Amino acid sequence: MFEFLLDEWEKAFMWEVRSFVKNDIPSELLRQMDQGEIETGRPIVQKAGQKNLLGPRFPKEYGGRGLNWVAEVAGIEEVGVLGNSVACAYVMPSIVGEALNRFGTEEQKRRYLLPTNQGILYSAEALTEPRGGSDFFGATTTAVRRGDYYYLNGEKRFVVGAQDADWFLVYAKTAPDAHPHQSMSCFVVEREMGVEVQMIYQLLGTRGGGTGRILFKDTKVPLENLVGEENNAYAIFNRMMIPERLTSAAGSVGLGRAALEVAARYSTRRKAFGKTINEFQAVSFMVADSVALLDAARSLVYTAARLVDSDADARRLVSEAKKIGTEAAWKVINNAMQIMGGIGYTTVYPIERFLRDCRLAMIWTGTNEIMNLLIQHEYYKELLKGRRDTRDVEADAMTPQEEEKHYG
Amino acid sequence: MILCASQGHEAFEYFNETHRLIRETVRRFVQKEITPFVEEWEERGGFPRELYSKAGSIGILGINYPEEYGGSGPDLFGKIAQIEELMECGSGGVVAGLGSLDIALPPILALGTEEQKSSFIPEVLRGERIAALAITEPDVGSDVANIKTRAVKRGDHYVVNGSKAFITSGCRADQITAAVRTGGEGYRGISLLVIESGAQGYSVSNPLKKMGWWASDTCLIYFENCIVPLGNLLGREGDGFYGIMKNFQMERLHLSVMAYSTARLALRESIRYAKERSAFGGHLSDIQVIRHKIADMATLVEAATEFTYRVAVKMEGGLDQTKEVSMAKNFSSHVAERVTYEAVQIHGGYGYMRGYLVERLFRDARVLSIGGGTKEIMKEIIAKHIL
Ligand SMILES: Cc1cc2nc3c(=O)[nH]c(=O)nc-3n(C[C@H](O)[C@H](O)[C@H](O)COP(=O)(O)OP(=O)(O)OC[C@H]3O[C@@H](n4cnc5c(N)ncnc54)[C@H](O)[C@@H]3O)c2cc1C
Ligand SMILES: Cc1cc2nc3c(=O)[nH]c(=O)nc-3n(C[C@H](O)[C@H](O)[C@H](O)COP(=O)(O)OP(=O)(O)OC[C@H]3O[C@@H](n4cnc5c(N)ncnc54)[C@H](O)[C@@H]3O)c2cc1C
Repeated sequence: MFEFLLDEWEKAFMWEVRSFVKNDIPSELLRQMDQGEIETGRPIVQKAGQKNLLGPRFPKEYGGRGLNWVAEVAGIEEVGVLGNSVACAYVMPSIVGEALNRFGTEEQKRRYLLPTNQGILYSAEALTEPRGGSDFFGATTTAVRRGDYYYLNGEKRFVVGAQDADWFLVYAKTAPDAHPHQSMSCFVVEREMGVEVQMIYQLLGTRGGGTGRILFKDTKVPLENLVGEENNAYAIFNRMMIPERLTSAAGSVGLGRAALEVAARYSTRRKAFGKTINEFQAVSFMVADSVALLDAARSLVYTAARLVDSDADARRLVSEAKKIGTEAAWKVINNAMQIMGGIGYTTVYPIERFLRDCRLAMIWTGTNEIMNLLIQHEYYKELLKGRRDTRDVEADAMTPQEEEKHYG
Repeated sequence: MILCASQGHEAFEYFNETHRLIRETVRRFVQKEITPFVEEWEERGGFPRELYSKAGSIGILGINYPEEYGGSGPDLFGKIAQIEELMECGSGGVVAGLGSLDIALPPILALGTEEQKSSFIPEVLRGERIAALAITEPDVGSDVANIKTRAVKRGDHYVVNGSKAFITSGCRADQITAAVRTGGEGYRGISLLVIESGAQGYSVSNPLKKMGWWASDTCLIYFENCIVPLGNLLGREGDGFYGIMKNFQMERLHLSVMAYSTARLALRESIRYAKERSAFGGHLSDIQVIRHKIADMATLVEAATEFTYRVAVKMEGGLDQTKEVSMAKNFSSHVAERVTYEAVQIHGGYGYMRGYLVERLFRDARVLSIGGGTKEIMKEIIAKHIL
């Protein structure tokens, strides 16, 4: 349906991912992850890496394909049907890779970006701290430079891949007293350098990714593992939030689509009161709402992706895509569960897992409240700075007396 | 003014001194016998059978049942107080499991003979036997009139064939109140039988795994030429549908109470967390979006609670509340979903972690608009009454 928006390259990539999703990821792996028998996304990145499907928009010499964001979101939607945990493993190279690709040294790209995109190295990002996720720049992990090394101290929590990742993209304070936006730096920290795993969380959903709390205790990180300039993590963070949020949005659309498909098919077979339940408008209109929500969300995801591809400032649309994409998926999956009746609440169908997985989407990669903060901020900025070239509709009021307008 | 519910909710016009005592008893029971173990039971997917007899022995199960069968006499608000206090344990599964008798016994009371009542009720109220209600089948849920399980009279017994699905407490029930087809098609052909789990040809599946209500066992029950004495028929053949429908009113009221209680717990956790958690140099509770979310949550909980009380008081007064109780169930289960959603959101990443109460409340809430008649079926009932 949406393929008309894709060019040949984008379409071909989407189809390639679709066939990978269809054939290469056994159901059993998903079950093992959801049951916590496996606590790593490594099998996913290995399989996807072997097919050269990771980080598709990065240059070929670093393991990508030189494609664009539109191709990537189309691919991620396909992976999204496998659930949040698989999608998260799949997109992690794209997220941490953004930092390296944009800000990293040639050496960093060859040592980390390339093997990560090949699925040889398994990566993770460590931003959130016990004291705050939303208040990111209030972080307290420190990195102190002494001789040839930075010494990292602090704690990060909710880190997917804590259990098994080979390397972590870590944000830490290098100038704690400076303005928060000039206080942090970004590092590539290999597990070997001394990353201590404190615990692995039991989660509502998105399970099997080895999400945990990690500790740095005088962890020695060589100077050359600083990404970008010292104290300039703000720029990297802002850039990374694009893949972070666009991937959540695209993956969620896929998850919603998967739930809708299961439930809509079910509704054409399940009978009650002498008809299949899709003959009840209560059911078929839930399907209609869901289809429309997903299409609207997908449109926004594609549009945001196009905008990022054009190198314009896409902060507002990316935030909107994350908010609308995840909330659409949430509504759709709830509709799907409702359509299924009692059986949807059980593990006989995957809807309950989808619902558990999806609940995270409104929380991570910046909560949807944080998306609202960004959206309004960008909107006001545009509204108030812009030349007014649109009609002054305020003047169309029935009694537009200026003397009756008061602003306190 | 009498304070009721440990939340400090004031509803002096509905609850009296007896209810206050009921609350105290149940609260102590929950604190001593449930709360310390609830995490373990949830993870294990069940609670010990002794919980029934412990609850029964101090009269908790007999609230709102006639004295002649071991209850403490009709008292709907006593029952509401009991459910509200049980819900304080934070596990909808424990409450559903412990409460399966509340859907299994009313049809026996309504349709049963003296002899049936005295043999199938007192032991259940003492917690010595577990009772479940079995209506839903793998092929039939909403469309109750269309159930397929068949009971054929042969000599002094019925031979039952078929299966039941999603039966709360089904795995270990000693007796089930089962809907079976004794006559022709449609609702007129339905009867209710009490079937004991020891009956020949009776078997159960393993518990189904579910998104929530982990501590309650939900399973399928199979009848293969299952032998049930004729004396276990409740009322006359064909009375079943009426018995089921009557029962639904009370079940829906109970579900409504469970729903707003779930929401109330989630609200309380959110208030506590928002005040404790620091963010951006203050507390979450200083952020307007959070304050207003909590204000909305509190409004919804309050409205759901008060509306349910209103419906209950009318039911107690003998008014037909079929429409209103369907509204209450839908409204409260909507509130439960909405409020637990926001509670998870307010907790941020923590809300997604097992071990945080709001995580479980959210999972438990989702079944409430499906079980006991789906949201859509409630709307059908409401619409039929007003159109
Ligand atoms: C399973 C899981 C996996 C994760 N994976 C990773 C990972 O791999 N790497 C990583 O670094 N992080 C990860 N996270 C962390 C995630 O990004 C954070 O949980 C998220 O950013 C929210 O932060 P918090 O949990 O500290 O919530 P808080 O920041 O404490 O927020 C609590 C609530 O307050 C609201 N709030 C906060 N500030 C404001 C404000 N100014 N205005 C209005 N509302 C506000 C929030 O929206 C939220 O509802 C993961 C989290 C989970 C649960
Ligand atoms: C945890 C759990 C515990 C349960 N415990 C018990 C128990 O103890 N005893 C028991 O007997 N049952 C029990 N149930 C079963 C429950 O009552 C049924 O699941 C419920 O009534 C819905 O039936 P169904 O699952 O067959 O859905 P279906 O009837 O197949 O419905 C599927 C969908 O179609 C919709 N639909 C159906 N008919 C119409 C219509 N006319 N108009 C519009 N929409 C319609 C429904 O709303 C739903 O969205 C339990 C269920 C669960 C999940």
